[in-house]
Amino acid sequence: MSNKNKITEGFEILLKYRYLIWVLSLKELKTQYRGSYLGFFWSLVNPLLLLIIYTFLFVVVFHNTSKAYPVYLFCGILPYTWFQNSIIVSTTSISNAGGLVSKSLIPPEVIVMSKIGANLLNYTLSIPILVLFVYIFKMRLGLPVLYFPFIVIITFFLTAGISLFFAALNVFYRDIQFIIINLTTFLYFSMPVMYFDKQLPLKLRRLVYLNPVAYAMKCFQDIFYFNVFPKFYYVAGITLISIVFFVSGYAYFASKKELFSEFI
Amino acid sequence: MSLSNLSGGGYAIEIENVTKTFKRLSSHTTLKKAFIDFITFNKNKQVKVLRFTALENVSFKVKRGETFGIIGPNGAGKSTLLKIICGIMKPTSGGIAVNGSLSALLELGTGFHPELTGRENVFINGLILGLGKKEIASKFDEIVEFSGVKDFIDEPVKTYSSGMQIRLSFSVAVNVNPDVLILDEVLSVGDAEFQAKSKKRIEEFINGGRTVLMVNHNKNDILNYCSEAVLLYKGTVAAAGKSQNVIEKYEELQAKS
Repeated sequence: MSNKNKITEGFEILLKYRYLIWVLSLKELKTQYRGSYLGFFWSLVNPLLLLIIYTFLFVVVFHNTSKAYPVYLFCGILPYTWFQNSIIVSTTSISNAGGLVSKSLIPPEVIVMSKIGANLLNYTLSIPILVLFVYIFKMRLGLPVLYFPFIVIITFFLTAGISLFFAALNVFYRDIQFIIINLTTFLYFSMPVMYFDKQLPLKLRRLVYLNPVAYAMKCFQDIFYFNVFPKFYYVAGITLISIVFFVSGYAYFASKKELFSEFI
Repeated sequence: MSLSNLSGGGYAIEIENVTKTFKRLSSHTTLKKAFIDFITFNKNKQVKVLRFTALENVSFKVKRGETFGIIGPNGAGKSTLLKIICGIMKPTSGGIAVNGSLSALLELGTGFHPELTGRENVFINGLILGLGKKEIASKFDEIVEFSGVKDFIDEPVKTYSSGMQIRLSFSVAVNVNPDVLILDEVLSVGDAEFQAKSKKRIEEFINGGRTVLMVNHNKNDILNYCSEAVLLYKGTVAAAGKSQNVIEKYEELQAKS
């Protein structure tokens, strides 16, 4: 079977199982909060608490005087949390799936996609808080918001490609899950999420922008903080990169998936 | 392996010369040993790859509308064979063809989540087994009625007794209506009353002209349900044909060992 066929086959699987992916994503979210008093409200409270800590650190301790700094923080932290949690959870999703992989007929990519879906839902639930903050700090949302759904889709495919790759790899090498936790933390601090890219020395800035995720975060900041349209070549660039990541990550996953049941 | 060269005529499942070899690293494989292997060019590697042949040249055919049994002692390769037929595992060599839609019950309660209610679990489990959204909705009452846990359907599954959980998952599974159903030792669940009910359901299924492939340890079950069977012994087909003859052969083997 040629590579091209395999890729279309992959999309067919995702399309065919889209409803199951949706239901499993909801299940993830439901079980996460089941039994707690606040329920889904935790999706709002969690980032809010995180924001308070960061604001204290950067505004009170480090005397950061940027305008509406909490808003800046928020537009980067929220999508990065989605990205980071998706990858961390997906990496162990296949190796910990047990019977769902070794004893059921559902394609394993459904499991990975549902983890990303659940984190995307979490992210979506936190958007109202972000919008609230934008208005609390007397800032404006304009037409650049039209770009938002598109950037979310791009980030989704970028996340999915990386997640699928590491989920498959972790089945054979369980060290990956520990590497990923450190790697995502490292990426987080290496990108202008908590600080502004202007604060970086020029040479370092070039290095940081080798990372495709940094462009995605930049787009989120443009939309919600700077209220400008994301630069066209940024958007075009990460669209291309996310497609490449998704296709190659999925291709690796698909080439290994028949071995999963032997190794888990 | 290409499946298209196997003909579909009259057969629901065709298995030709299936061999499955598992590779695994010797136990106590440590990073140190792997490192030593890496830096020395010693031919006598410390990390050894062990091979285990779970299935060897297994071939048989299951006719459409037939109930076919697989019997054999533990470790004979029955579950591996089922996984290969389902496409969960890839055979090392050989070919498999399944003609028609396939559903498998290899384990009860796959995907059941203890925190979710019975209702939610029926829904998710049904989707996992291949039912559509509408199908589940239309069969929901029947599934719940069959399971006998109607009063607790909106309680979290973790509050159920293990018997109730198994009954609920079994009820979902028998309401999936594929062309070919694969059952891995799941017939004898629940109390006597529930077993009678589930046997009746399986009989309905068989009478509906569908193909059933079942793994079972209970010789009587094989004799009752299956017209034909194979005996797997140490990864090979030790006997095949009329289930009566296969069972006799199995008893012979057991008497010997």
